[in-house]
Amino acid sequence: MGNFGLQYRKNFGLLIIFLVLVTVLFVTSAFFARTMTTNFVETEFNNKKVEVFDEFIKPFNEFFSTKVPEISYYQGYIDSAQGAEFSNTVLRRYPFVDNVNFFDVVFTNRDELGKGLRFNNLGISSRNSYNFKLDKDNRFIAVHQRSDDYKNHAEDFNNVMIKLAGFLDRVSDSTRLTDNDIYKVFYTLQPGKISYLNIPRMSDIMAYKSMMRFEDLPKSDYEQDLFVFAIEPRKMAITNKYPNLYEEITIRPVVDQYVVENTAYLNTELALPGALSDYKLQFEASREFIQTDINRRFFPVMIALSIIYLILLTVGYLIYRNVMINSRLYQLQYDFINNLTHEFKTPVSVIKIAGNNIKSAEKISDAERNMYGRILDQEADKLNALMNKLLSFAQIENKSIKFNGEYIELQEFCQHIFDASHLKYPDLQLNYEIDVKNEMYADPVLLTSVFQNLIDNAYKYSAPDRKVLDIRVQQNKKNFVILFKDQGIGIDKKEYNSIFKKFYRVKNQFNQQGSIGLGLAFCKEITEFMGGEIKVDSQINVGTVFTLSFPVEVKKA
Amino acid sequence: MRFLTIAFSFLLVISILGGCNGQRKVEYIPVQDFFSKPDRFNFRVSPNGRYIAYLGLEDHCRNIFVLDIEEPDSSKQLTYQDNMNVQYFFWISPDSIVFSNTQSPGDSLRIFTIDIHQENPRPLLIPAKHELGWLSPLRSKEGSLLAEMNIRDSSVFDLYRVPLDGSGPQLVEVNPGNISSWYASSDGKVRLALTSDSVEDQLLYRRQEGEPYQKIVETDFATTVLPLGPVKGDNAAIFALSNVGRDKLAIVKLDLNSGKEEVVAENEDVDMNREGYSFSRQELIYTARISDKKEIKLLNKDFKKIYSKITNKFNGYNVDILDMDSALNTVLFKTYTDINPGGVYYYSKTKDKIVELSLINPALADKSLAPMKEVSFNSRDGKTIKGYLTRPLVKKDVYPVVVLIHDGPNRRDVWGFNSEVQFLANRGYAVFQINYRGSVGYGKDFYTAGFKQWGGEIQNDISDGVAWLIHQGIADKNRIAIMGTGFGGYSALYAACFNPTLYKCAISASGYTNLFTYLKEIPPYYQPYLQLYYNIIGDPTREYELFKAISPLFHAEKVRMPILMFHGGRDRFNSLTDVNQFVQKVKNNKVAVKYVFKEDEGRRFKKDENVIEYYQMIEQFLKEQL
Repeated sequence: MGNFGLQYRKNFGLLIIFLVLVTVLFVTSAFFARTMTTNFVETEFNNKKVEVFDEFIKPFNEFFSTKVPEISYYQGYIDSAQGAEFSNTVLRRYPFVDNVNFFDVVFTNRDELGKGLRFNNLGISSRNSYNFKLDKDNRFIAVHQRSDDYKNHAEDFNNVMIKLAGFLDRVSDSTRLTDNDIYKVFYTLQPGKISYLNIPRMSDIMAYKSMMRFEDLPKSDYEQDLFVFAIEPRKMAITNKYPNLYEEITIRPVVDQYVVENTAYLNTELALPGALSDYKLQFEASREFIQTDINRRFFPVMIALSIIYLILLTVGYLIYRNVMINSRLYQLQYDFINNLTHEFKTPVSVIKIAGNNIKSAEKISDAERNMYGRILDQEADKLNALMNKLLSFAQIENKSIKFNGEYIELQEFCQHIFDASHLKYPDLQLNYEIDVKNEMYADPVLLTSVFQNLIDNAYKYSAPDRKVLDIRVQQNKKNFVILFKDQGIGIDKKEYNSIFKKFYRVKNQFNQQGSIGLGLAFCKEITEFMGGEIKVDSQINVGTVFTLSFPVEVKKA
Repeated sequence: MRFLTIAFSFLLVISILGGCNGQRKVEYIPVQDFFSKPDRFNFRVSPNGRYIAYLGLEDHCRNIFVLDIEEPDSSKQLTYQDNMNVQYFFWISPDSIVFSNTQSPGDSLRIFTIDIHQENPRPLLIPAKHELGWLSPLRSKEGSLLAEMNIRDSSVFDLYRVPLDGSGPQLVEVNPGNISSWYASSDGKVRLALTSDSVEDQLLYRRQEGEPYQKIVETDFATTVLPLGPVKGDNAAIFALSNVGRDKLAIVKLDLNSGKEEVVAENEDVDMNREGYSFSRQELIYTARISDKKEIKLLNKDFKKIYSKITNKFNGYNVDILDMDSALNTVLFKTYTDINPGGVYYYSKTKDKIVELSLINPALADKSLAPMKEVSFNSRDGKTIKGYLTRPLVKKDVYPVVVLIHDGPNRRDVWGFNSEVQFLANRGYAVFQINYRGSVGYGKDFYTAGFKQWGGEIQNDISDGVAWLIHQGIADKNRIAIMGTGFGGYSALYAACFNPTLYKCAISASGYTNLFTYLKEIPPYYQPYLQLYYNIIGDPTREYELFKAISPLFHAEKVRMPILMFHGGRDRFNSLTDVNQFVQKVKNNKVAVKYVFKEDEGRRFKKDENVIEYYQMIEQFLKEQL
């Protein structure tokens, strides 16, 4: 501890290290942020495809789980006209349905059988079949299929019916149609094709079962409907919910034979379900495209980082400024103590010399006694004045001084001060002009010291041959204005603010000694304490004007 | 302080007095009290009037019990089945009974005879999977009974004689395919048959068995000739219920040779009831009709005396005659009013007194219930529609209303005790029942006016009735619910789709969601009836658009009011797939749907716990919604 002197330090090295650290931090975090954004965007690229897919598959799901089961509502009563109407709505509402094959199916235990299958005694035949589609101009076209056309579709028909026969085999009175049964038996899914057989009521199913098993049942016909929807997944609409992520979304065959020449920078795919399963969704984005998105996302991050960086820099600068101000204050205090010591030293040494002279004189003449007495008296006054000044300043600083306000008749008050100044500075040419109507409310003692200080300054900072001071006391509507205009050395504009600061002294040949830099600071404090203000206006080597202004109407505390 | 004490006690006294003077609080009756099932039912008098047999519960199964009127001490349990219910039974002679324990239409047929003294059941037929319908009179003639059975072909019923010795049925007559029923004469021979050819019915007559039939009467599907039984001592004349050439059903004496009718009883406003004929006496004992209440006209002098004794004791009650022996020694009857569930009694001529057999809903006997009043209003097209209004006992300016739609539509609501109505009234709802067009009992025109009006004028009648009730200042127009079973449930669902502002909520029990499915239910051997259904509802192939327009399933997306739905797994008029689709679609509208599915129940819930739950849910639902 003892090794560290308590002197004031300035270490610019520390500041530089701080700056370097902050900058390094800024650069690294920017780098990481960039990497993370890139990773994030690439992960999103892979993940958000599910949302696009969900949106994409919605109409298909609606078709599959809502529209298709509507066929069962009609319980087999659909004939060609109704089948056409139903198909028309489907084809127009769901563009991915390429065409519809409708079979008007008869379940019978009669012997004659048209196109169809027979399971024991149960004959299942297609009484009529139709193909419905929309042509290029979106006109609805219905074609009644002849026997040879039928062959092309017999496979679909047979698949469904064989499955149903299997189901009829295992079904019993206590069977309840579960959703799983419905899906497995009445829906047939192949890539590009959905077959749906109208779901009969359970009692009909049992009737079919008995027709299949028993020969001697009454001959009856049951009508059912079978629809085969050809699905063209490439006609499904894709909504790119994330145009920023995916440059291109396409529907491609699962088995893609062609080697793609220029593979995209980023790509991912999603297989389509069920009847769409021969196609997949392919998502692609080029490097430039994804770069744009990364930059877009990185930009706000970068801004935030920069702001933090700037804040840190500002903090650094503020610390530096404080250090500089503190160092100057330290310097000022140091100067002050020097000055003060000097200021005290002169009268003290004079007193000491006078004392020594008196002590060592064997005999003191009256003239000498007079002289020493006057010297001692003068020097003691000086010391006293010095101490008063310090004391009252300290009091003002601590707000411990009291404001003893009273109405002052300015004419008389000024006259008094100017008379005293004449005595003090006989070589000062003092001109004054007083033009006021009201009495001013102020503390006369404090006001006196302001006047005294300003007169002292004017005297002190004027060349011996130009010691002139014009004092003008005026009153306007609101304020009393008191001007002190000298023809002194003037003050540089840059120092206007500083001169009112404690311990500040303008460096010039006039204040080598006998000044501690408190006068104007004192004036300012006191003036403001009394509710007024003080301003300065000056021109180098021409003169300075101090303007005091006090309000006419004073609120008494 | 003292003053305060006095003041307070004064106030207390006032408030107590006030409470006494105020309205009588209606007691809250628990659900099960309304729907408790009687433990004795199906009372039948033996041919000699000495015994009364009935079904009672023993070992959790319905068994036959025999009550000896002359020597009550020798009354006994006749059958001892502990895993099957006796479904029905009837007396075939003074000492023996035929009964069946076939559990359901799909079950195999098991029919037995039992002697009440020997108590030993013997199978009458070899158990087999076909159906059987007995022919009146249900009495042994020359040691056998007459029955229709579909043994040969499941879609056709032939006529058989079933010997009581169990030797097996003998084919009497092969159904050419169009005969829907036969009618026996008093000598046990079959001379009369009714044919049905999709839209036309014919009554056929022959002088003797074996001879060819002659057509006597031909009717369209809206006209009815329903033979009741032979006229005593004349094989060529029968009593019948007929509306040939008139609007209302009348009881007529029909000459089978000429086909001419002689009106015995008729009424210009309503149909005659199918009651009052006694097969054993071959005589019309009385005739009855339902106007406001049931009105009986007595034709037999002996019975008149007995009836006056009954009405002396039960003045103001409706009396249903359940059974009697040929000598009128014992008369079984049931009495009730709208606010009294009543009971089953018998009158014994030898003892000359009325004896109670069973009380119906005894828990309600001393409770205050709400009276039912007949009302009538005009529909938008000027038809007079009748209905019943039951207001809760608590008087209010306007009531929350439950519009209770009867099933059918070929049924009707009648004045009398109705547990469902009383339950709702006890919970504070006014109950409004409407005999909309298509309901039976008001004549042919009114009945046929309901044809092809499902989702049309029938529904308008219901809406007009509700509008009338609001206009009368009885219904609170913001608190009306619609509820019903079967067709009533369909009406509720239809209202939920198309009358969103009239009702606050709808309750449907086994309501038809899809009329395509409904029509599919008619089995192949009902093909003759299909045309009738086409006339009543419509032809699903030709009137495809109509079916779409009136089936709730196609309009589920319009439903905005809360619905409570009940369905049984065995309800054949609805497919589960349809109902699930409907419920799902309604749920998609963000509408509150409560859907209760009971796998082993049919169209109407039967099991006690399910019935209780059914009404508790209704109570809760109405409480929330109204």
